[in-house]
Amino acid sequence: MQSKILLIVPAYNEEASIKNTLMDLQNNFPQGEILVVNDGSTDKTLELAKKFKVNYLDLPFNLGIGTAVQSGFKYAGGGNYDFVVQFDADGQHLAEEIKKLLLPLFQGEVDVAVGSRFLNKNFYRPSFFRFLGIRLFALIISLILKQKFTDSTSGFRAYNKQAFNFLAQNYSYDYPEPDALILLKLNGFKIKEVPVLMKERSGGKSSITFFKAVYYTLKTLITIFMDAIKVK
Amino acid sequence: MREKLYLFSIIFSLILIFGIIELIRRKKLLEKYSLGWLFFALFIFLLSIFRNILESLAKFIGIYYPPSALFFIGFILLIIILLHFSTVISELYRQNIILTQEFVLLKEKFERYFREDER
Repeated sequence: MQSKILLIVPAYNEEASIKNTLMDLQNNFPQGEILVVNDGSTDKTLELAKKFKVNYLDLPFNLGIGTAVQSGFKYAGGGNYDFVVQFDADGQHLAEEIKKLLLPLFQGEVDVAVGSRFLNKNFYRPSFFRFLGIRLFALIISLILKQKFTDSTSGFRAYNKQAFNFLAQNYSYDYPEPDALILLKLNGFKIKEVPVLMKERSGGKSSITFFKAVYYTLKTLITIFMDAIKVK
Repeated sequence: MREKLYLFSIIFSLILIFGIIELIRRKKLLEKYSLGWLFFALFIFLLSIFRNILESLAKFIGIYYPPSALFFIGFILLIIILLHFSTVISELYRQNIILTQEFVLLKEKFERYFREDER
C-alpha cells in the first residue's frame, strides 16, 4: 500500500510566489496531497491557491508560522496521513528534493528529517546577519542536544506519524523551527539532517527584517533554554 | 508632611476599593480578577491607618522613612498582580489558538462537504 503524504504549505502574504510553489509541487511531487495554510494573508494568496484545486485552511487572522504549521499537523492527524512534509511558500524549497527528506523516514531510520542547505558543498549563502543567526542557533542546539545541526532554522522538514501527532499537541507558537528540534529530541524522537538544495527567494520579502531578527534571536534563545527545563 | 501623605494614601485606597466594587457591580470586572486589586487596596489602606504596623514593617525591611516602605510594598504587590495577569494573558492566548485551529479545521470540513455536494 502506498503511504499517504501531506504537504503543508504555510503562507502569509505570498501572492508573488505561491503560484510557482504550488506548480512546482504538483509537477514534481504529484504523489503528495497539498494543504495550503493561509495565515491571515491580506493579499491574494488564498485566491491564487484556490485556483489550484488544493485543500486549504484559512486562518481568520495572522497567528504566526508555528500556529499555521501546527494547524496542518492537526489536519494531518484527522486525515490518516502517514507522513507530513513542511514546505515554504516563498519559493526557497524545491519539490524534487522532497524524496530525499522522505527516504530516511520510509526506511524507518528516523522520525524527522530536516533539509539543510549547508551540508552541500556549494550552498547559497544568506545575508551575513541571517547566516550568523542561523549558525548561532545551530551551534547552541548542537551543544544542547549533543547532535550536530547545521540548519536548525530550516523550515523544510518531513515528519512521520508519531512525530507530527506529537507536534500537533506541543509546538512553539512564534518561531518554532529551532524549538521543535529540541522538543522532539528531548521526547525521544530521532532526527536527521539531510543535504538539500535551496533557492533564493523567488518573490516577496522574508518575514524577518533586521530589527525583528534581533527580537527573534532573543526570543528563540529564551524558548530554547526554557524547553530544556519545562515541565513535561 | 507625613500626615498629608498618609491622608492621601487613605483617600486613594478608599477610592480604589469603591472603584473596584463599582466595576464588579457593573459587570466590567470579574470577581476572580478583582481579588488581587482588592487585596492591594485594602493592604495600602490598613498600612496607612495603622502606622505602627507600617513602621515595624519598614524597620524589618531596612527602610528608615516609613512612607517609603508604603511605596515599596505597593510596588511589590503591583508586580505580583501584573505577573499574575501575564499568566492569564498567556492562558487566554493559548486557548485562543486552540479555538482558532479547531474552528479552521471545522470550516475546512464544512466547505469541502458542500463542494463535494455540488459536484
